[in-house]
Amino acid sequence: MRAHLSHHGLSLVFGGLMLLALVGQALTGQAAYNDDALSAGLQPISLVTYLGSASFAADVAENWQSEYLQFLLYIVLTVWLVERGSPESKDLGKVGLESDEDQLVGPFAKPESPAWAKAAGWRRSLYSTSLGLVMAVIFLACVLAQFVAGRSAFNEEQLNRLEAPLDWSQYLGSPDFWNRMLQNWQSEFLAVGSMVVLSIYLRQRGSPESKPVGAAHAATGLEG
Amino acid sequence: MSGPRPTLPSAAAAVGLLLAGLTGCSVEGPGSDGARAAAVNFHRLLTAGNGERACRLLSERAVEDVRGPDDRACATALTSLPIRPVAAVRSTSVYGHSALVVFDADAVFLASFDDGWRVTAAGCSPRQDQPYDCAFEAG
Repeated sequence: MRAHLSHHGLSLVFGGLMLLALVGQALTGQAAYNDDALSAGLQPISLVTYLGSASFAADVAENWQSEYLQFLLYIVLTVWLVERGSPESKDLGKVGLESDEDQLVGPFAKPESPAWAKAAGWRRSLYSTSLGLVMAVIFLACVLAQFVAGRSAFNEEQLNRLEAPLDWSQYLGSPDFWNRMLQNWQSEFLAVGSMVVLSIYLRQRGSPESKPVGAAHAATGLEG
Repeated sequence: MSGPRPTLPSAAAAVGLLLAGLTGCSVEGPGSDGARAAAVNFHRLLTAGNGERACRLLSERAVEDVRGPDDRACATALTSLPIRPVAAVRSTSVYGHSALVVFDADAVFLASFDDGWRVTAAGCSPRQDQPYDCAFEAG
């Protein structure tokens, strides 16, 4: 049991951290919502009601979509783009989809390879892009969730300010929707770009996100 | 990047829950009947000259605004405000705990409380790129 847990330490720890942060977000979000309600002479709401509110859903979805966009772009762009010296990049000469031999598919598949990597036709094609596809689907679902919940939360604030609610097309073109979107995107792009560049020159001993401490700055595609 | 990522089944389940949650909390569905009924009742009482009962449909802040700095009786002050009588509901919008009921000759803002919908502003006319101009409002 202990060995099993230790083999999944990353997913367990990050799952736990995510839940703790989500609980914290819910509690502080409810407090902020109720502060606004009380100052406007409106009724505060319970935590359960807040968890079902558009305000909470929009706040969660806007962060989730940007995270999945970050990984989606990273997964797809690193097929075609490289960065000399970065452990986040593959070798400079391997730009593109690479050969079947490199990718261990079809006749080059190993006995332990996934069944769809051994298969021919659409199954191999689909499996070869499944990570990016699933990330894209989750990203789009989160954007949809942010749009629906964000409009509802925005319109509740509009009504509290004695202003008319926005219809779907108005909200799609509104600063609120795009500001929520872009303020998250810019931070994700900054973080990924920083990681790509800083990892050329800096090291974290033992981390697969870093090159070995003694590796040359120009060495590309090495992971420690 | 080979860093930690959400596991796909749990991420998909979480997105599903998020989307499912949205269906019950966002649009002009739940609560619109109650909000519309409260606004219609408010106007019916005003038309009948029953300011006292109409005042009972107002939020606390709205009552304060109706009474004004002179602290007049709510019923007297309310029936003296320039709120036009209405004949029909044009639309009802409910988002979260707030609502707007637009009549042919008025617009009424409401908020939900434990004991139901209460009027927070009435006698309202739309203004271009500005909040509605209201006879009274829970400021």
